[in-house]
Amino acid sequence: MKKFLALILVLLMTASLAACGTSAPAASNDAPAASNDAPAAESGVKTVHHKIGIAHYVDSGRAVDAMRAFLKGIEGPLDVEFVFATLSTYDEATNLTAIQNLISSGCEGILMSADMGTPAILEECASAGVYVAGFLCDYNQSYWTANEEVFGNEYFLGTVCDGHADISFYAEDVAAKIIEGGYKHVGVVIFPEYAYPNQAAASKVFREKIDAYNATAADADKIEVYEDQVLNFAPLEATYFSTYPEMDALFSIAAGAGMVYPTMVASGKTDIPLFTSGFEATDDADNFGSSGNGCFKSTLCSTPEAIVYPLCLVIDKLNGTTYADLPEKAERVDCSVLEIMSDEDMAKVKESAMYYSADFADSFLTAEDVINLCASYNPNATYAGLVDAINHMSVADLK
Amino acid sequence: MGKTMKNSSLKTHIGDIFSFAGLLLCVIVFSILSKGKLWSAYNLGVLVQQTCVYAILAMGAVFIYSMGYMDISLGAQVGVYCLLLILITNASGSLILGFVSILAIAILCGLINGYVSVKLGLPSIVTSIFLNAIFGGAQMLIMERLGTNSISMDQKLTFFKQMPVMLAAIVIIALISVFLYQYTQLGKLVKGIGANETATSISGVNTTKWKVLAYVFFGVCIAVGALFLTARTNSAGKGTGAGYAMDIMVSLLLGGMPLSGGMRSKISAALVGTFTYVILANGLILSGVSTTLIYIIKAIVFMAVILMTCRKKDGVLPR
Amino acid sequence: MKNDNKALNILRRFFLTILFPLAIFLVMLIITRSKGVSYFGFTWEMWRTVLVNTSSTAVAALAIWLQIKNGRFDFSGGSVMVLAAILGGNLAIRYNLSPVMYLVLCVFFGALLSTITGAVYILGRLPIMICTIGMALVYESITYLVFEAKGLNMMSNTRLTAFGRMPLILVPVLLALVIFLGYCYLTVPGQRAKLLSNNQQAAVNIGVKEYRNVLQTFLVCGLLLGLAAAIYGSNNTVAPQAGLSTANTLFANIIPAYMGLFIGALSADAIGVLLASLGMAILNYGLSCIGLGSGGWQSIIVGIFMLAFYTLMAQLPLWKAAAAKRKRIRSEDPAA
Repeated sequence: MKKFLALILVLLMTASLAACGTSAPAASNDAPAASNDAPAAESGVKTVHHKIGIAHYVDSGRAVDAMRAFLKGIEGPLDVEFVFATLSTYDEATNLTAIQNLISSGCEGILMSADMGTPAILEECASAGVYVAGFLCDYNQSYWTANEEVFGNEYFLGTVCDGHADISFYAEDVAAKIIEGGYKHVGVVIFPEYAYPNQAAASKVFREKIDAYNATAADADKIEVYEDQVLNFAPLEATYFSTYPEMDALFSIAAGAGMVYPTMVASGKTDIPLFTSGFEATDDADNFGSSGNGCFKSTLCSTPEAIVYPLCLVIDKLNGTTYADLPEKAERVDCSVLEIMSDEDMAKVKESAMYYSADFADSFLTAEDVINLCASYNPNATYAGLVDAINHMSVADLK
Repeated sequence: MGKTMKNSSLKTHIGDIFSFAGLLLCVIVFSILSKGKLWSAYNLGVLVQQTCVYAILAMGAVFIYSMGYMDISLGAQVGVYCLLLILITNASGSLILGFVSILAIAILCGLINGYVSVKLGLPSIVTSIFLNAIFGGAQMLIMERLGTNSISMDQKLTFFKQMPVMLAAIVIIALISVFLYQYTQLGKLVKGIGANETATSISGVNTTKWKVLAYVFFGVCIAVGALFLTARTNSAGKGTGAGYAMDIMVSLLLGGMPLSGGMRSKISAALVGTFTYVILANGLILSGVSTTLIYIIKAIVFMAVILMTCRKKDGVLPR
Repeated sequence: MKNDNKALNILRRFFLTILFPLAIFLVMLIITRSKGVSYFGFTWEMWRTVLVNTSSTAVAALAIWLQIKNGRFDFSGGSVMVLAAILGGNLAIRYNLSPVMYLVLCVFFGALLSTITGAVYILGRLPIMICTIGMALVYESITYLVFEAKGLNMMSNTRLTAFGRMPLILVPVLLALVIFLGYCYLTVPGQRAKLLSNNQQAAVNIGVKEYRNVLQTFLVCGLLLGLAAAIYGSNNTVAPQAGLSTANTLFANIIPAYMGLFIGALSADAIGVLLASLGMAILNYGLSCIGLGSGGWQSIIVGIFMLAFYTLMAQLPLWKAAAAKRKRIRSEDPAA
């Protein structure tokens, strides 16, 4: 009897699954069909339907919501169907499996945000004729160890970093803030250099800037910077604050909201100002500057709209069109960052950045903007124009 | 008489039938939902590739689970072996040397694993937690020392990536496992230990020896699995193998393996289970189900399968 | 004379019981001092961290131990804890509730979810591990469906997280101890649960109503998991979970649960669990003082430490037997 019940449960589930499964693609098939005429009417462009996989290393959180909202906003007009999968930042085989599943599901192009197992993935994609491009990822591992194999691969179209590959500018800005704030004992936290060489480099720039200040400052005003605390991808330990009891400011180049802030809360050290990167729009937004406990003093993130860079490259490749000025070898490009250094910046981000609201209406780019960035839909579009577009998404550019 | 025999054998095999039915149902449902994409030549290759490692590991694990034991160190072991395979092969230039080395280490660890869990008289899950901590630590340490997220092998293991080779590997390991399981003392006794360890021990069997042997065979399967896993991406990193212990456990359950071990344990559970597990993950993406819904659907399917295969009819509640 | 003996006995038991954390403390003190770390030992910073870690481990370990002790291995504990924290925490934030209400909500959801697991176990008649793995998958998948898959983020809400920090964190710990000890040693269902775990069939035969007892135990276990959830949600950013990762959250606390059996041999198992958690927290803090707090070495050291602990403990019955034998031989000697 109970077995029958279970059987019925399965059948019911199957039926509902069938309903979901068939209705979802149907809906998305309808949508482009209807919208197909819309852009054609507006801009006289005939879009071609494509299925593109989005393989992202996280599957929840504010940044993911914002990215999905953006993709949802452009999928109709651009006539693209997006399929999502989750990657790992640690495991190559997981990523290969995810990409294989996307290829099987009919994706013609795939955008990835993790660089583990990329050579094997490209081999797979090349044999299946599927193009790959990166977003939110500087592909450091591949860039330094398999550059020709990855960036020279005809199926790899390039990647846009999570902001700038070189974040020295931020280190300089934070150093200026530290000097201005009159802090005397500063801690620096980074991820291991092999994984994030840019963080070690930024730490160096930060120190140079402070050293330059110390050279001219009076003895009483000199700033002491403690040696780098390297996090092995595990949260900062409470003992760090006991080791440096005098610390009065903390510069965590490694994602501060997730890795450093929890320890500060647990140790009752939220009175130490935290300058960090990797804005998560949760605790770090609520406790920024003069709000909440005021622990966060500066933060940094890139915007979800930057995904148009790999997206346009893939669409053009699939349509067989290229920009006249497209570089021969795949590039790793920077995009704008939301560098939030003050209450005003934060207020602006909260009010009108899509990263925070996850509302497509707040996007830097409209669907039509995106269409116009593609060479296949806009003969006048250039690669320089595409790169330019993703570099006008800073706090100053917010409406 | 004949009829009752038939009836009782039907009853004993009802679990098998249901787990096969589960696999079949998965195949049918996803064939429809994916609009045939499940059967594309490309996807079939993908399915074999994805199943291969799981199936090999699961067949080894059957010997452990048959005893009513459990192992969660599997993933960390796989990770360390993959790294060592790459490091040794790169250093010596010989894949054979690399593989023989990890095989030797795996067998040694099997010996220790089996012996320790017997001698300490602890639940096997606890000893496997120690091993997990030690292997996990070793994996992290190797990567920290190398100062990289991922290492790759100089020579390409394309041979082990071909579909016929992978299929052959599954078949060979399956044949060996079935042979060991059905026609040797080992199989009979691990089931016996799972069914009633005291009885088995009292009947004059040196249970320690057979437990250790079961762990050794498990070790061999892990080493072979590690070879095929490495071949997939030609690389390994600090997360290689993560989550495999749970994946294997869930696969075995989907295949109708009783976690408490005993006479109903079977090698087919490993094959049916891993194929179901892989097709489920693959089919849901092919059918365009959203990532957040995939988890709940997998959970419901799992509950449905276990309700059909593992339900105990009467008496006290099963432990 | 007799009284003296009793006092001495209690003193001896007390000393042997606290021996484990004390020994670890002394060893780590020597090691850290020799490495020039001055803040290990007697600073408020250290004890705050250690006690918070002890509490969160101990409460979770007690919940696990309650099930193991009653012969059931509950894989869903971690997922119940995570889901209860997400539900309780988000509701507390949304309706601006007091920290006490947060604690109550967590305990309520913990008890509810755990009882549901128990009900599925009974109605489904599934083997316990299989059933709880299934329920863990179900609860994990729910974390993606509630509150827009945002998990829980309330760590820096100093008002709501009062029960996750010193000194109020001792309230859930105390509650957990009272619930555990009260249920296991003072109530009829607790005693019946013991009967069931010793000989299930015999207990049922003498009239223990198994279904009801299982539900009661799951309910009590849920209360403990709810308390653990309140602490967990206060100290961690909780993300939605998948792939049985919550089982690992559970395994992280299982070692003190088993250690408690040995350490508490001379007192009560719950006390042993608490002291084992304390010992492990001190060990981890000490390791982090000398720069081995995370990464490969920490994992290896803790793994080997636990292995050594159990190897020693496994010899204990043998030593006892040997000692008893010696005593017997000695007492028999004069007769011979």
